[in-house]
Amino acid sequence: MITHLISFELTLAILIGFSVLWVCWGWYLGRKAKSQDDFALAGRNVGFALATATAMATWVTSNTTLVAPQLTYQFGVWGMLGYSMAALGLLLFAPLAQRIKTILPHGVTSGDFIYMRFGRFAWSVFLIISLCYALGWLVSLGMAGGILLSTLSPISYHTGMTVIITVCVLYTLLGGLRAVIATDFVQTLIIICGVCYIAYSALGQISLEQVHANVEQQQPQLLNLLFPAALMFFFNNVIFGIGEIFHSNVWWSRALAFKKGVGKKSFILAAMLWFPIPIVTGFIALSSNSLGIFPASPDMIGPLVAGELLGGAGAVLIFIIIFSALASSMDSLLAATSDLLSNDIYKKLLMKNASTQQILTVNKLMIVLLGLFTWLMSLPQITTLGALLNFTGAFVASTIWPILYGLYGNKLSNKGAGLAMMLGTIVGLIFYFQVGFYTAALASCFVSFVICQYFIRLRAIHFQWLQLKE
Amino acid sequence: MFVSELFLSTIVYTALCVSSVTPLVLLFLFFKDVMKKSLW
Repeated sequence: MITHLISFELTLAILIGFSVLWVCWGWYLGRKAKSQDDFALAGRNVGFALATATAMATWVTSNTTLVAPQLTYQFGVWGMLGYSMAALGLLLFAPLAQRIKTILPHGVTSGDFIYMRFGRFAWSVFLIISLCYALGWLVSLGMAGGILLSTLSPISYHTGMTVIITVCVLYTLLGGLRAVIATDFVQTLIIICGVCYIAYSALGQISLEQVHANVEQQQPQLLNLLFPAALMFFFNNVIFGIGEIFHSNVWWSRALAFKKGVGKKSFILAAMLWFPIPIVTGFIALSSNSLGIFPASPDMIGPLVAGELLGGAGAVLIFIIIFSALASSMDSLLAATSDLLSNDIYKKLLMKNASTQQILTVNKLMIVLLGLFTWLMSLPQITTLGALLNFTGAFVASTIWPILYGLYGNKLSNKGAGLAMMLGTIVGLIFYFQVGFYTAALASCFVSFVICQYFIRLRAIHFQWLQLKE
Repeated sequence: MFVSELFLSTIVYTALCVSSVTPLVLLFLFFKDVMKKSLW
């Protein structure tokens, strides 16, 4: 077991350096944001380069750097490819982004669309699903921060997750979506350069021939294309990734923030550039056998292998990569979820006549409260990252069909959309607990599809699109 | 049905090649947007 590869002083220096950088930059970018459009949607005029980078960075999370190696370690080649297929979510969201910008030019959140297109019942179910997912993801990011620090340095799990959550809350609070997008650009460059460097260094020390030969000898099922659990995981992850992106306000707020005509092409390019990253991070885990690394918890496999291959320098590099990956996703999630809480819960439910300034104030308050909630929930490290992540699959996969039929069709009713999401989630959860985590999203998506079909074919309505312009 | 060494090498090296040029692509787009004054 390799621990404390980075000294306490060096860890502290890296943490303070990056924290000050992100927070000061966030403050600088956010100092002119006076309206909610400026704060929550970066002025609705984000260009192609920043749009592509932010789409990539948000999708390169701690999960890509920690869970992709974990899944490769557990499921072999299918784990690696299955995680990569999450790029399909970005690719399929590209046309949706264009459609969202067209039909909802003044919208702020995904909740706005569901409320106007389907009404209160479906909107309530959608909000519950969306918040469960967002909070689950936030907690997984907080946990990942703690795991990272405690694995690589003498800093404890609790201190690690406290630092990462505090830094992200601070710069999101100061700079809003503009700060999130700008930091995402730099974080993307850091992550990709770092991951490539580790991979090239690894290949310099241990050849793919050796890795293949060792895995073939010791764990041949990891190379088996007909490994049943891995195959199930592959398809489950595709559906999960699509569900995550289609419903989450993280992506809707980006679609609304990008300049007109930019959304579609930036999501397509982001998907193409994102696709190989989990393969690069995942393959490192395949070499763990050859190196004799058997981690106590599988989600530590990535940092441990990098540390073993590259020593102290590798540990520092992977620390910076994962710190950047964590920040790039946590800031996006904090911003998007606080928009959802202030715009959907506060404005629609509690204070219908709230002024823009009041909504902005509540938005900032929500960022702080979300940070506090994440911190509290991450305190007891209750599960592994992979398990927590896949738990939310049961929720999000149920939203795919209602959103598609809602955006492109006019026959699905409020009741149909609400029931599809509700029953899909329930069945998904049953499968999660009774069959396996890798079946939750598949079951949820299937049930939701059947219910949508029933309502479209037998209980169709004729929605008037003009209602969305109101 | 097992993955051959050739298949594994192909996907890993292809992924590495694409990832290696990604930062250059992003920087190119960034400077292009800066020149066109269409960053934000």
